[in-house]
Amino acid sequence: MQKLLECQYSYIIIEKESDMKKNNIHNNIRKLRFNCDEMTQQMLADKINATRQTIHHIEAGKYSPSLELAFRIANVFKVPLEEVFQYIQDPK
Amino acid sequence: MDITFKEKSTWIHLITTLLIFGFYFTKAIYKFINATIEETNLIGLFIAVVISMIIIEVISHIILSIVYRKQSIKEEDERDNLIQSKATKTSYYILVIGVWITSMSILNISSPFLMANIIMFFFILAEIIGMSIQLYYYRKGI
Repeated sequence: MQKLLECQYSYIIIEKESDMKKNNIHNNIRKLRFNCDEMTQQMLADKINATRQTIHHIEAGKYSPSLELAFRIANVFKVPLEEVFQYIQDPK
Repeated sequence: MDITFKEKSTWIHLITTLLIFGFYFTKAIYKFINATIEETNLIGLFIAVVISMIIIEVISHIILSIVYRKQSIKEEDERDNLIQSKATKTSYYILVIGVWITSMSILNISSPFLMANIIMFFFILAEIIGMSIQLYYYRKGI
Protein backbone atom coordinates (compact mmCIF):
# COMPACT_ATOMS: atom_id res chain seq x y z
CA MET A 1 0.00 0.00 0.00
CA GLN A 2 2.83 2.34 0.95
CA LYS A 3 4.69 1.48 -2.25
CA LEU A 4 1.56 2.18 -4.26
CA LEU A 5 1.19 5.56 -2.58
CA GLU A 6 4.88 6.34 -3.20
CA CYS A 7 4.55 5.40 -6.87
CA GLN A 8 1.43 7.54 -7.20
CA TYR A 9 3.15 10.45 -5.49
CA SER A 10 6.24 10.07 -7.72
CA TYR A 11 3.97 10.14 -10.78
CA ILE A 12 2.38 13.36 -9.54
CA ILE A 13 5.83 14.88 -8.90
CA ILE A 14 7.02 13.99 -12.42
CA GLU A 15 3.83 15.42 -13.94
CA LYS A 16 4.21 18.62 -11.90
CA GLU A 17 7.92 18.93 -12.72
CA SER A 18 7.26 18.81 -16.45
CA ASP A 19 4.81 21.69 -16.02
CA MET A 20 7.38 23.58 -14.05
CA LYS A 21 9.95 23.95 -16.84
CA LYS A 22 9.27 27.59 -17.53
CA ASN A 23 12.96 28.31 -17.98
CA ASN A 24 15.94 26.16 -19.00
CA ILE A 25 16.80 25.17 -15.45
CA HIS A 26 15.07 22.09 -14.14
CA ASN A 27 15.16 21.09 -10.48
CA ASN A 28 14.32 18.08 -8.33
CA ILE A 29 13.81 19.90 -5.08
CA ARG A 30 10.32 18.63 -4.47
CA LYS A 31 11.40 15.02 -4.94
CA LEU A 32 14.45 15.51 -2.73
CA ARG A 33 12.32 17.08 -0.02
CA PHE A 34 9.96 14.14 -0.11
CA ASN A 35 12.82 11.71 0.16
CA CYS A 36 14.29 13.66 3.05
CA ASP A 37 11.65 12.67 5.64
CA GLU A 38 9.00 14.68 3.78
CA MET A 39 10.69 17.99 4.51
CA THR A 40 8.33 20.93 4.07
CA GLN A 41 9.12 24.03 2.03
CA GLN A 42 9.22 26.05 5.26
CA MET A 43 11.76 23.68 6.82
CA LEU A 44 14.00 23.93 3.76
CA ALA A 45 13.62 27.72 3.70
CA ASP A 46 14.66 27.96 7.35
CA LYS A 47 17.76 25.86 6.69
CA ILE A 48 18.98 28.02 3.80
CA ASN A 49 17.86 31.40 5.20
CA ALA A 50 15.26 32.11 2.53
CA THR A 51 11.50 32.54 2.55
CA ARG A 52 9.03 29.72 1.91
CA GLN A 53 7.69 31.64 -1.08
CA THR A 54 11.18 31.69 -2.63
CA ILE A 55 11.37 27.89 -2.35
CA HIS A 56 7.92 27.63 -3.92
CA HIS A 57 8.97 29.85 -6.83
CA ILE A 58 12.21 27.90 -7.35
CA GLU A 59 10.29 24.61 -7.47
CA ALA A 60 7.76 26.11 -9.87
CA GLY A 61 10.54 27.32 -12.17
CA LYS A 62 9.53 30.93 -11.69
CA TYR A 63 12.81 31.92 -10.07
CA SER A 64 16.41 30.84 -10.63
CA PRO A 65 18.38 30.99 -7.38
CA SER A 66 21.87 32.46 -7.12
CA LEU A 67 24.84 30.11 -7.14
CA GLU A 68 25.26 30.46 -3.40
CA LEU A 69 21.64 29.62 -2.69
CA ALA A 70 21.79 26.67 -5.08
CA PHE A 71 24.82 25.29 -3.25
CA ARG A 72 23.10 25.77 0.10
CA ILE A 73 20.10 23.79 -1.14
CA ALA A 74 22.39 21.00 -2.38
CA ASN A 75 24.20 20.96 0.99
CA VAL A 76 20.92 20.50 2.85
CA PHE A 77 20.17 17.35 0.87
CA LYS A 78 23.86 16.30 0.94
CA VAL A 79 23.92 15.72 -2.82
CA PRO A 80 25.98 17.30 -5.64
CA LEU A 81 24.59 20.41 -7.28
CA GLU A 82 23.87 18.53 -10.52
CA GLU A 83 21.44 16.27 -8.72
CA VAL A 84 19.40 19.26 -7.62
CA PHE A 85 19.58 21.48 -10.71
CA GLN A 86 19.94 20.55 -14.37
CA TYR A 87 20.36 22.85 -17.34
CA ILE A 88 18.21 21.83 -20.29
CA GLN A 89 19.42 23.31 -23.55
CA ASP A 90 16.90 24.48 -26.14
CA PRO A 91 16.75 21.97 -28.99
CA LYS A 92 16.86 24.89 -31.51
CA MET B 1 -0.27 30.64 -1.61
CA ASP B 2 0.40 33.02 1.30
CA ILE B 3 2.50 36.07 0.74
CA THR B 4 5.76 37.23 2.24
CA PHE B 5 6.01 39.92 4.90
CA LYS B 6 7.78 42.17 2.41
CA GLU B 7 4.90 41.85 -0.07
CA LYS B 8 2.33 42.65 2.63
CA SER B 9 4.41 45.69 3.63
CA THR B 10 4.54 46.81 -0.02
CA TRP B 11 0.75 46.50 -0.35
CA ILE B 12 0.26 48.69 2.73
CA HIS B 13 2.73 51.25 1.45
CA LEU B 14 1.10 51.34 -1.99
CA ILE B 15 -2.46 51.71 -0.69
CA THR B 16 -1.44 54.37 1.84
CA THR B 17 0.48 56.36 -0.79
CA LEU B 18 -2.37 56.16 -3.31
CA LEU B 19 -4.97 57.30 -0.79
CA ILE B 20 -3.06 60.04 0.94
CA PHE B 21 -1.19 61.54 -1.99
CA GLY B 22 -4.18 60.98 -4.25
CA PHE B 23 -6.13 63.20 -1.89
CA TYR B 24 -3.33 65.78 -1.77
CA PHE B 25 -2.83 66.05 -5.53
CA THR B 26 -6.57 66.14 -6.18
CA LYS B 27 -6.81 69.12 -3.82
CA ALA B 28 -3.70 70.74 -5.32
CA ILE B 29 -4.86 70.33 -8.93
CA TYR B 30 -8.29 71.74 -7.99
CA LYS B 31 -6.65 74.79 -6.41
CA PHE B 32 -4.29 75.35 -9.36
CA ILE B 33 -7.08 74.99 -11.92
CA ASN B 34 -9.33 77.39 -10.06
CA ALA B 35 -6.41 79.80 -9.72
CA THR B 36 -6.96 80.19 -6.04
CA ILE B 37 -3.41 79.39 -5.11
CA GLU B 38 -2.68 80.39 -1.57
CA GLU B 39 0.63 78.80 -0.97
CA THR B 40 0.29 78.75 2.78
CA ASN B 41 -2.82 76.59 2.55
CA LEU B 42 -1.08 73.99 0.39
CA ILE B 43 1.98 73.94 2.61
CA GLY B 44 -0.26 73.24 5.57
CA LEU B 45 -2.00 70.49 3.64
CA PHE B 46 1.35 69.02 2.59
CA ILE B 47 2.62 68.91 6.17
CA ALA B 48 -0.63 67.29 7.29
CA VAL B 49 -0.32 64.71 4.51
CA VAL B 50 3.27 63.82 5.44
CA ILE B 51 2.42 63.48 9.15
CA SER B 52 -0.64 61.35 8.34
CA MET B 53 1.46 59.14 6.09
CA ILE B 54 4.06 58.59 8.80
CA ILE B 55 1.45 57.80 11.46
CA ILE B 56 -0.52 55.39 9.26
CA GLU B 57 2.62 53.61 8.05
CA VAL B 58 4.06 53.22 11.54
CA ILE B 59 0.80 51.94 13.06
CA SER B 60 0.03 49.57 10.19
CA HIS B 61 3.56 48.11 10.22
CA ILE B 62 3.46 47.65 13.99
CA ILE B 63 0.17 45.76 13.63
CA LEU B 64 1.59 43.74 10.75
CA SER B 65 4.70 42.83 12.75
CA ILE B 66 2.61 41.72 15.73
CA VAL B 67 0.21 39.63 13.66
CA TYR B 68 2.95 38.06 11.49
CA ARG B 69 5.66 38.00 14.11
CA LYS B 70 7.53 34.97 12.79
CA GLN B 71 7.68 36.33 9.24
CA SER B 72 8.73 39.81 10.34
CA ILE B 73 11.80 38.51 12.18
CA LYS B 74 13.24 36.97 9.03
CA GLU B 75 15.39 39.24 6.88
CA GLU B 76 14.70 39.83 3.23
CA ASP B 77 16.13 37.08 1.07
CA GLU B 78 17.81 37.35 -2.34
CA ARG B 79 14.52 37.19 -4.25
CA ASP B 80 13.16 40.17 -2.28
CA ASN B 81 16.35 42.12 -3.00
CA LEU B 82 16.27 41.26 -6.72
CA ILE B 83 12.62 42.29 -7.07
CA GLN B 84 13.35 45.55 -5.28
CA SER B 85 16.37 46.24 -7.53
CA LYS B 86 14.37 45.68 -10.71
CA ALA B 87 11.53 47.91 -9.51
CA THR B 88 13.92 50.65 -8.37
CA LYS B 89 15.51 50.71 -11.82
CA THR B 90 12.16 51.58 -13.45
CA SER B 91 11.31 54.09 -10.71
CA TYR B 92 14.60 55.83 -11.34
CA TYR B 93 13.82 56.33 -15.04
CA ILE B 94 10.42 57.83 -14.23
CA LEU B 95 11.97 60.17 -11.70
CA VAL B 96 14.61 61.27 -14.23
CA ILE B 97 11.91 61.98 -16.82
CA GLY B 98 10.00 63.97 -14.21
CA VAL B 99 13.02 66.06 -13.32
CA TRP B 100 13.70 66.74 -17.00
CA ILE B 101 10.09 67.79 -17.64
CA THR B 102 10.18 70.10 -14.64
CA SER B 103 13.50 71.58 -15.77
CA MET B 104 12.17 72.24 -19.26
CA SER B 105 8.98 73.79 -17.91
CA ILE B 106 11.01 76.36 -15.99
CA LEU B 107 10.59 78.66 -18.99
CA ASN B 108 6.79 78.69 -18.58
CA ILE B 109 6.32 78.34 -14.86
CA SER B 110 7.23 81.17 -12.55
CA SER B 111 5.97 79.76 -9.28
CA PRO B 112 8.64 77.71 -7.44
CA PHE B 113 5.89 76.16 -5.34
CA LEU B 114 4.21 74.80 -8.48
CA MET B 115 7.50 73.40 -9.70
CA ALA B 116 8.09 71.72 -6.34
CA ASN B 117 4.67 70.09 -6.60
CA ILE B 118 5.39 68.86 -10.11
CA ILE B 119 8.66 67.27 -8.99
CA MET B 120 6.91 65.71 -6.02
CA PHE B 121 4.18 64.37 -8.28
CA PHE B 122 6.75 62.54 -10.38
CA PHE B 123 8.48 61.29 -7.24
CA ILE B 124 5.23 59.82 -5.93
CA LEU B 125 4.39 58.44 -9.38
CA ALA B 126 7.81 56.75 -9.49
CA GLU B 127 7.18 55.27 -6.05
CA ILE B 128 3.74 53.97 -7.03
CA ILE B 129 4.99 52.43 -10.26
CA GLY B 130 7.98 50.92 -8.45
CA MET B 131 5.74 49.32 -5.84
CA SER B 132 3.34 48.06 -8.50
CA ILE B 133 6.21 46.43 -10.36
CA GLN B 134 7.38 44.78 -7.14
CA LEU B 135 3.91 43.36 -6.56
CA TYR B 136 3.74 42.14 -10.16
CA TYR B 137 7.01 40.27 -9.77
CA TYR B 138 5.91 38.80 -6.45
CA ARG B 139 2.80 37.37 -8.11
CA LYS B 140 4.12 36.37 -11.51
CA GLY B 141 7.68 35.43 -10.64
CA ILE B 142 10.94 37.01 -11.74
